[in-house]
Amino acid sequence: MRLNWLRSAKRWQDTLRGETSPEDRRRNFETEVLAAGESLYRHALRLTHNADDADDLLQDTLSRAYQNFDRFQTGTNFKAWILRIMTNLFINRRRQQAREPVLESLDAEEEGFSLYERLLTESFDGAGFEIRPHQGGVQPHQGKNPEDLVLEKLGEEAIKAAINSLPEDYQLVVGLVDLDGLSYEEASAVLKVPMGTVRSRLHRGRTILQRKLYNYAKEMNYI
Amino acid sequence: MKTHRMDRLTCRQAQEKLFDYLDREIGERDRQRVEEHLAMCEACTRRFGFERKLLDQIREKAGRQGLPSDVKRRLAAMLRNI
Ligand SMILES: [Zn+2]
Repeated sequence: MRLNWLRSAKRWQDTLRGETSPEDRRRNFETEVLAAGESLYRHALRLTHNADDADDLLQDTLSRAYQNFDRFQTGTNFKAWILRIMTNLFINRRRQQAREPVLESLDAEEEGFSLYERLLTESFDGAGFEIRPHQGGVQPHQGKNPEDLVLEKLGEEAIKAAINSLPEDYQLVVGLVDLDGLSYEEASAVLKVPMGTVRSRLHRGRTILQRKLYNYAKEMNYI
Repeated sequence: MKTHRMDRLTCRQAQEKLFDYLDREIGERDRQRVEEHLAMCEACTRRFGFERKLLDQIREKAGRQGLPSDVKRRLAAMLRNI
């Protein structure tokens, strides 16, 4: 009992001094890593394009991050911090075999493409009425907007496939912001590109993504 | 605070700010202007609502799948080895 009390008093003292025991440090690190695991693995796969290299990169990232864990500021975004370490490791490793950025230019049809506008003009009359020729023509829509119904039909596989088929630099930004929830600033630090580049790649990436989802919805006769 | 007419956004201007607004990557002044526009414009409100839902669907369906169990196992092993 007394020993427990002493121990917790000691821990409290450490906390006051801003120190953590090695066990606590390790436990905190593991908790953070497990919470970020999905984002880490996904980012590693996007960078390396194969599972073995992704595992290696993940392992190296964990070691490096653990060595530097004292420098991580509690209360800031751990995911953004460790993703930055991963990207740095990857870039340094690849520096010798420098690659040209692959940025597909948008064709005229993709520039300014909007899934919403297409859905509105193609299958619906645009005023919240759905055209159902076999059920007596235009019907007032109950509850949900018809374009939302198309959205709900898009499945997990279709969305993942569409993202994975984006050009690499768009894929990385869309992954970090849209899937992992990073801010533009955090994504800019992870990828080491200016904020303006994050913004333009994200916006163009989303435009291409909408185009791909539209094509898919069309193929599946959702529209 | 009085808003000048000149300050009002057109639909086009509001839509140019769509992603920045949805991502909360917009300055306070611009955010207010977008919201003033949305309060008056049903078409843009519907468009913004759709884009919001699309982004939510993308995150829900492609972003939160959980780690495959073999990856989870390898991750745990990696953690033991550092
Ligand atoms: Zn408008």
